[in-house]
Amino acid sequence: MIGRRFRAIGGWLADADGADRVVPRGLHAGLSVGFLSAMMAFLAVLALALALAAGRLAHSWESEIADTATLQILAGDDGIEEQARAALNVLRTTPGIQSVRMVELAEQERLLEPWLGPDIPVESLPLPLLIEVQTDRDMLNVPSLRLRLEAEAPGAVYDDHAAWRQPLVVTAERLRIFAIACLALMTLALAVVLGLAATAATAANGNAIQTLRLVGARDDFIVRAFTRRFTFGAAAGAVLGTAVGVLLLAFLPQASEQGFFLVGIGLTGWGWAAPVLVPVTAAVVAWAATRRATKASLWRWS
Amino acid sequence: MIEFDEAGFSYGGTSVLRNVSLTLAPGSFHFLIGPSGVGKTTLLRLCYMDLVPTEGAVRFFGTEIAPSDRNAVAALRRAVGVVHQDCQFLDHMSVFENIALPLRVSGIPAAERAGDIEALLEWVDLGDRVDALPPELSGGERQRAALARAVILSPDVIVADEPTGNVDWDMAQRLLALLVELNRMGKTVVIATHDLNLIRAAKGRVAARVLRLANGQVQPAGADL
Ligand SMILES: Nc1ncnc2c1ncn2[C@@H]1O[C@H](COP(=O)(O)OP(=O)(O)O)[C@@H](O)[C@H]1O
Ligand SMILES: [Mg+2]
Repeated sequence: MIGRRFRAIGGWLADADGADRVVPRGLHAGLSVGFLSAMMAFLAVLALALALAAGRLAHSWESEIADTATLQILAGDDGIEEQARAALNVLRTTPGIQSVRMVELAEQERLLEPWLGPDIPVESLPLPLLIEVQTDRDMLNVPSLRLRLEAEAPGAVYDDHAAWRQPLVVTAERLRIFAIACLALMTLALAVVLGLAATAATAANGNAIQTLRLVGARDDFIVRAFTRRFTFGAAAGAVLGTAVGVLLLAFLPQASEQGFFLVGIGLTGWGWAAPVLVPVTAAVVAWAATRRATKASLWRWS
Repeated sequence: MIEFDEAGFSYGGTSVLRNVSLTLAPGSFHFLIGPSGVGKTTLLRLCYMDLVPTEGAVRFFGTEIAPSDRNAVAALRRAVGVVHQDCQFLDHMSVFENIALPLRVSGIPAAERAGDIEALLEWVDLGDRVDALPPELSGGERQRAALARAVILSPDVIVADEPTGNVDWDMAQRLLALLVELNRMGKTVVIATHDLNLIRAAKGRVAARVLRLANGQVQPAGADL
């Protein structure tokens, strides 16, 4: 059964009986199918890159939320040491806290400089004491930690960045869904347009189809001739469009660690293999759409 | 064998054939005559299911084929070689490829039958036109190419609609000779024509029956031809 299927596909690809030749090579129709599918493929590659990048971003932000937190200790000069000690004590006895590190004043200055400029005397600002905490999200119970800190070190504010990162994660997730929806719509649009093109092609070649039927061609022979023509046209166009899209992505500036979101839209690692799916999908869609359309119109033409 | 069983045909409301009963027995040779517009082409089109009778039935090799059984219709058209009145070709393919078209649609590689095709092309005197495109052919050349295409699959029945309409007398005789030879090989041959000279030329060479179409009815024609 599976062997037969494979042989059928092989025969279709090889076109042993030269079904292709019987469809007149309409330059115009052929070009427009290729061109259309090239455009769709180009857009699909961009949408695909967007989907992958948004997914990557959401994931990395989410894991950052999961893994790091800061503890700020705001207190008068006198109480700060004591509060810090109390807070560290709480952290050490909390399951899910993996490591704790004091952020030096010099480091804080460096972190603030891009925001405030080099000329502001940072020493004069009432900087809090900063403790960087590595956490294990699964084990950590944040509300209980907050309660204990409140009791033992009231000047300590636990911040797991969720407040400002979470909306970004949600945005990235939505962007990803949006990009995937774009891909789905493009696939659908390609199917519809190729179906229309195939119907138009059979109509334009009504005489040829009639002649073929009169000399004894079966429907599947004629359908194969048209689907092959369209499938290869669409696949060739899609390869071209994909190549242009991938080249464009390759020449985008690469994302740096802190880079603004859009800079990171390029492909990475295995992501570079994903665009291969675009021409493959285009070919399968073209095959299915033209097969359906030609089958339906053969009844009308003979 | 093709049997008309009280078959009738009308285009929309216009009745062209009425109550036609007719048997085209294996190995028979028929001429179908009648003035233009009487329904010769219509009757022939019923012979390869290009049309389906609006009354009665037409049976092929003992069975009635449902028009919805499209593969059976395709198989019938391989068993019935047709020279159409308007000789449709695929204009983007060479004469050679057009003549080999029935082979191609049957999945037989043309290379396998290259010898047959060459011989056939010589027979219809198109040997030097193999690479031409159909629109470059004269009316007579088209009809010769159509005849070659009709017989390439060696069908049981050969239906020719005015096959000598566009050729000179020499070529008409040659085409007739080819059809007579095919009939001697056991093929059933039906020729629609209004050329009575062709029928006279056939006399003595083949036991042909002449059918006259008039008023939607088929009658045997008298010996006055
Ligand atoms: N497709 C058609 N639609 C309507 N009338 C037709 C059609 N084809 C032929 N006819 C009519 O049917 C009659 C018979 O035509 P046809 O079979 O072509 O005659 P013949 O071949 O003997 O000249 C003619 O009156 C013709 O006008
Ligand atoms: Mg006619």
